[in-house]
Amino acid sequence: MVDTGHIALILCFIAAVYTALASAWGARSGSHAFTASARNGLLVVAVLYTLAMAAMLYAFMSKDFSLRIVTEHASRDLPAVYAFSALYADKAGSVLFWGWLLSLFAAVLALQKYNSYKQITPCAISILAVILAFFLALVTIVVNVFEENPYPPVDGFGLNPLLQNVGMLIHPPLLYLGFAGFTVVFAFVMAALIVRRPGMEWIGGIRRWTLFAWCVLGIGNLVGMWWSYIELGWGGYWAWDPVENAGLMPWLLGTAFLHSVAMLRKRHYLHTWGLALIIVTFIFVLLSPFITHGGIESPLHGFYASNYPPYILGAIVVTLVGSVVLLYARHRDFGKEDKPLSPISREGAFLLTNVIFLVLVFLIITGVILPRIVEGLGGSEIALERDYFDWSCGPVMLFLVFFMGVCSTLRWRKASLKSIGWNLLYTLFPAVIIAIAVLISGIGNWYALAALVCGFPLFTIMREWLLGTRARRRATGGYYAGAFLRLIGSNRPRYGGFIVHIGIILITLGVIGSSFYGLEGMETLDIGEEMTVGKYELSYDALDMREGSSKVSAVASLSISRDGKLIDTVRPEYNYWFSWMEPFAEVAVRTTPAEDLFVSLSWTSFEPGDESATFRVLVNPLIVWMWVGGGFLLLGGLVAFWPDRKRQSGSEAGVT
Amino acid sequence: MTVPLGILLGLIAAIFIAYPFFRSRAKSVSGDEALDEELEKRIRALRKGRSEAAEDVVDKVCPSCGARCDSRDKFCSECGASLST
Repeated sequence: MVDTGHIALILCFIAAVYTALASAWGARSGSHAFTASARNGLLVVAVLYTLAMAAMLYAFMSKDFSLRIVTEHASRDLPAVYAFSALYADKAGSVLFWGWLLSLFAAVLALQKYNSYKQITPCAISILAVILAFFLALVTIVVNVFEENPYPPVDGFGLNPLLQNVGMLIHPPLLYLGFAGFTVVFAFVMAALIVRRPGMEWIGGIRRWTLFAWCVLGIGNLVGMWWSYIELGWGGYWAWDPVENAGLMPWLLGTAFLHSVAMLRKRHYLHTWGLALIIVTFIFVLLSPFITHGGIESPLHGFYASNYPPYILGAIVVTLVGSVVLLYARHRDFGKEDKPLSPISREGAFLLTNVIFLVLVFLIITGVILPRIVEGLGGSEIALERDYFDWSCGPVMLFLVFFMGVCSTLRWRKASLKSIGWNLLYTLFPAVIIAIAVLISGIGNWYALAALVCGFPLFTIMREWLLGTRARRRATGGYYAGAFLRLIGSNRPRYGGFIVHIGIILITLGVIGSSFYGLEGMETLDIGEEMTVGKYELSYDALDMREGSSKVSAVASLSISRDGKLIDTVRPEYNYWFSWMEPFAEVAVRTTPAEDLFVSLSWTSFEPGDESATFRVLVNPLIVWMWVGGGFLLLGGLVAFWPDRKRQSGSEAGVT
Repeated sequence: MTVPLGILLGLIAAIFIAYPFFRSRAKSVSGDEALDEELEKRIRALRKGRSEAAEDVVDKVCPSCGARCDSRDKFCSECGASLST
């Protein structure tokens, strides 16, 4: 089976190279035979790649220690469900996995757009095949992912216990899905530029691909935050680590591009700017593996001693130079722009939003690479602390959330000051009143700011929905609920976007609550002793020792009381893993809408007769709303993604 | 086992990839390919002209908010204003 996978991967590489050449020739000469052959080539790549992946997964599940990758990341007691995690825990395995997703996406694009975009698709297939050939070269030529052990061991080293979590089954695949999605969008845009497709109507062909990539990348980042929160034991979810930032930056740029796509489709405005954004987004997609593979050192996580960074850096330079030259050469082909009549318009607001997103990414990338530049110039080793990111990016992010309230209400071309005035009266005014009330009541200054920043866009959305639903009901009758659903269905991209905005508002609330009003306590207790954190009293009741084949677990029982009344019991764990020869905490979290009680068993001696244990307890207000906000992000993405039959048949198919 | 398997997989892939060449050769014997090429060229030319005029033909611009709407829309999808004028 391993041999089959290895052969399939080599054939896959050959097929990808052929596809790139045949498709390029087909697009240039207009030869049907070559373009059809290249399309088949891409399907062959997807099938062979899937075969190689199946062989690799089989090797992990059957614990075939004749393979280096299985020996290094699996062990006999590793549950089969973590075969995926073990695969992308490896440097070459992660590239293999990403490339596989890309091969599937490329095949879908080839089948989906072959007949509707006959000029663009062959060229897009060629670009995707080049990128796939690059990925395949990394896992076959640079490093052989199917490398065999000359002397297979009886057991492997095992998977890092921190990665044996459901979050890790979801988080990396979602990030890779997002990256692969943006790669398809980039290839399609570059192809449209190469074949000199006049006008911009083709941009509708990639709107849903962009939305999909953006949505899964956003959810992927959130799942990563959730994993960090419940698995790493430090009680936080974001450390501004370079690897975390590597996933966040493409998402921020993708958000800017998504707003530009709306501007391109609705108003045919800022063509060059919009297309430049997808180039930058893809560059940051490539920057992500560069950082993850140690191109920029991460103190928390990432791969070490990887061979890939020089190759990825080369790909970044080639992509950047090639795409910028192409965009410059073609920027006069886009035709007349439909400029707004006033900067106070939705176009103006979207442009400002885009600029703010770019500023945000600039601040983050500066924090990531500045220490390396200083070191490279012979300066001392520095690291920009969390404070730099919090105090530079935090205010910009808050302004972005506040500004969502402005964007939604402005009309295209020119907004009248009268309508802006009415909107502000119904949206900003109540938000200011609530913020002042919170300030006066002494709940907290940051909560007052949250009321203003989150309240304004929330009231704006509510007002838009209310007015729209009322108008629909007047026109068609029936119930308000039905009118509301018809309103959503009438313009899914717009109203799906509103749902996403609600998700962002909830995430902002969670961030503000947990960042500024969290409480923390850490104490070493003996059985029967108590500790107090905020309004909670925790009583240490018992410590159970459980020995398994791969670890010994210390499970503590703590009774939680509030105002003298018992409300719950939690059981945090402290596990000593034999294969890793170190302990890992398994936290217990008690979640309510108002706050989380986070209990981590940070130390116990494992000595018989010694039951003392150190507990780290945190109270994190509003944090659950971050995960609820993620749900809204997904729901809004689905609403906007859902195909609109009328527009598809009338616009997309009609134009192409 | 490895070598025959590789040859078999490679052969299947090569036949699938090369199939369009045999198909187009068979078509070209009957003159279909030349006709296809000619039709494609004409479609490309028509499409080019059409997309240049697409802004006027396909879209309507809302008189109230300026959003581009589908030509068959009766009301603006952005602001709800009537497009029937």
